[in-house]
Amino acid sequence: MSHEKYIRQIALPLVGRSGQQKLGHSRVLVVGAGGLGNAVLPYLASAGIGSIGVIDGDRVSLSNLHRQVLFSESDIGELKAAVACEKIAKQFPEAMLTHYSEFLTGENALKLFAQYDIILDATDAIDIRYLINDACIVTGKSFVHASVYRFQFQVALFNANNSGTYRCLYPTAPKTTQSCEEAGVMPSTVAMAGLYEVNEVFKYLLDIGKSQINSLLLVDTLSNEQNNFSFERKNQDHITRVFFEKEYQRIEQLAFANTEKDGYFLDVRELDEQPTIALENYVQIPLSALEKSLELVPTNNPIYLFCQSGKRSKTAYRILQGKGYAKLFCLTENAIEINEITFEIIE
Amino acid sequence: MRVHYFGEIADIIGKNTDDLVLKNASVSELLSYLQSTHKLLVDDIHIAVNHQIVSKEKDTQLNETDEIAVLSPFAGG
Repeated sequence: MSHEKYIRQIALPLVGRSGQQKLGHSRVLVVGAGGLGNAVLPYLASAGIGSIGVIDGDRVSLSNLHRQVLFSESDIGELKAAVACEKIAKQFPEAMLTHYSEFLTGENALKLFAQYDIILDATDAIDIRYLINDACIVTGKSFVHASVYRFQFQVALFNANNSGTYRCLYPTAPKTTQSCEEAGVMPSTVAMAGLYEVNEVFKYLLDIGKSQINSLLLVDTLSNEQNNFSFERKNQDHITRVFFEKEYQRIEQLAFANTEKDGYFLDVRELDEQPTIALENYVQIPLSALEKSLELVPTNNPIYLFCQSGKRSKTAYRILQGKGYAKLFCLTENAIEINEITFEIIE
Repeated sequence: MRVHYFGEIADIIGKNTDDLVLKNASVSELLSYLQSTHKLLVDDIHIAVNHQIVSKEKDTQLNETDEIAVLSPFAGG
C-alpha cells in the first residue's frame, strides 16, 4: 500500500499511520449496488479499505443512471455488482473487490457476513433490513443503515458494541412504505445518505468520534434540519441461529392431497427421468433451465414444486422465492409417490 | 402542542408541523387522533417525545412544552 496516496488522511491526528493500517486490514460488505451502493463504494475504496464485497442480483436499467453514477448507458442490462466492482477496480487497484451477483437471502447471509468486519446496508426495501439486522445479530457484526424518502434520509449504526438494533428502533416492518422508484428521489439526497454511512464506517473502524448508536439521525435536505431521535436498546436474545433458520430459511410444504385446482405442478427433474407424470396444470422445467424459463411459470397461481427426492425442488423454491414468487410450496410427495397417487385416481 | 411529521407521514397529512390541542394529552390520545383523522396505521408509526422514541405500550403523558415527532421507517436507497 502506497502511503503517499493516503498522506492527507494519515495527516489527521485521529487517523495517522496506525489508523490507515486499520483501514487497510478492514473488510466491508456493501449490501446493494443501487443509489446508496454507488455513493459509498468510491469512498470506501478511496480511503484505502482493504477488502470490499458487494452483493446485488439486480441489473442496470436506464432509470437507475441519474443516481447510480458508476453506471453508464452501455451498462444497461448488466449485473450491477459486477459493473460497480469493475469501475472501482480501475480507479482504485489496491482495493480487493469481490462481487456477488445474487440477492441477499437467508441462505447466503450468515456465511457471507462472517467474512466481513462490518455490513453496510445499501438496500431499498424494508424486509431485507430485518434479514440484515438478524444476520448481524447471529454473526455478531455491526451494520450501518441509511434509507431515503424523497428529500429526507435516516442513518444509524446498529448492533455495535452491544448497542441497539434495527428491531429496537422499528420492532416490526410497516405494512406500507414507498421506495425511491415509487416516491421519487434526487441523486444528491441518496449521495448524502451514503456519505453519512461511509463516515460511520470510518469512525467505527478507527474507533474515533461518536458513533450513531442508540440514536437515529434524520436529515431533511430541503430545510437542512437534522434531528437525532434516541431509542432504547431492547433485549434481542430471541434472535438466535434457530430463530434465523425458522424465519428466513423456511420452506412451505404441502401434501399433494391439499393442493388447489388453480395451482401449477412444477416438476424440476430432467426431461428423461422416470416415472413420467400425467397431471393437469403440469409443467416440467429442469432445475438447470429454471432461471432462463421463468416465462413458463405463472406468477399469480400457487406453484407446487417436486422432483425425484425433494432436494432439487427446495433449490427451485429458493430460486423462485428470490424472483418474487409468493405462492410457493414444495410438495411433501415426489415423482414416485405422485405417480402412484395419480395412478390410483385414474383407476 | 407542536407536533412534527417526517417522511411519508408528512406527505399523507399534508404538512410538516401541527399545533394540536388534545383533551387528555398522552401518546395513546395522539395515536388515536392520527389514526382517526389521518387514517395512519398505529403499528406503522413511531412517536418521539423530546427526541426520545417512546414505547407505544406505555401511555406517556404529554406536556404543552414537549416537542413531539411522528416518524416511520424509510424504504428507499
